[in-house]
Amino acid sequence: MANTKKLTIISVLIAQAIVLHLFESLIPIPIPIPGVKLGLANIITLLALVLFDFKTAFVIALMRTILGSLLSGTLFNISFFLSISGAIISTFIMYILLRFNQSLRVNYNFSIVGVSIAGAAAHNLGQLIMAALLIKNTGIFYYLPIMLLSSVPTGFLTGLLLKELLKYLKSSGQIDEFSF
Amino acid sequence: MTKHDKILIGIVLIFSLLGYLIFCIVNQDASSLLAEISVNGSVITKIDLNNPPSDRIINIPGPLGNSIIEVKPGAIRMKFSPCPDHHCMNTGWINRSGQVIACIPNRVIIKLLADKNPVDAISH
Repeated sequence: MANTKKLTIISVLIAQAIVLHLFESLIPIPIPIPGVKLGLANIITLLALVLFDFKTAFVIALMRTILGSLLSGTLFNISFFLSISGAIISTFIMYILLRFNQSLRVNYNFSIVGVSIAGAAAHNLGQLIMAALLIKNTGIFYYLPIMLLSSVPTGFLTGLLLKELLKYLKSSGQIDEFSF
Repeated sequence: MTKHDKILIGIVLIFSLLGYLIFCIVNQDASSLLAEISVNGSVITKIDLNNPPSDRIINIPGPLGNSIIEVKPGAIRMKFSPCPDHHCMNTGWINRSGQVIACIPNRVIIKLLADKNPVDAISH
């Protein structure tokens, strides 16, 4: 892919991720648990992992968190550190699972929905570890069961959205090579 | 959804259930309840919820301001917090050992502990 085209696509993906990041904070969640959310911006990170490589997706995830927090006025406060650690760990885990699919030695076959659920679980875990480090108290892991539980439906939903998005992009001829 | 997806979902659910069970097992048989309030990792005060203090309101200063905690016999809650999203206030009253109210922005953690040995001293 030509360099300029790639740069343009990355810029558009970052812009879309920021919009989803901001839009998500407007959705009220009826559970009094800090950090339970849909993870819509994760769709873009996973899309970048499918279309490009780890480095590109990592940059998109980082830029999305930094710019999204800047625009919502939460830069460098608690929720910024929570979401950036979640974003880093989930990008890493989703990359590993996608590599499992391509690897010939290991016979794993995760669908995009499975990868998305793993990413959501990793995001929540990363958030909790960061929260425990920030407040220097491991009592916060009390929330681990409910957060892992919530990552299944939220990861499933975002995974389904991405699956439909990839289907559309393929049928409209905008991307040609991916295996999902 | 492939076979491996289902295994992955199963693993996440098992870990979630396992975590819940561990909390249940660790926090069984609470003969008396102790509320441990800590700010920024250091324990500020411990309150015996079986014999709560007469003034039911406790002020805990944190980085954002004062968190106001209310106690009643056997239960404790965050009455007011200066944090932006008030997750801690929405948690409501907690009354079982192992339960936690966490206010991450103001660094305040309220943890209910089972006081396994409620006797301070025995004199003969």
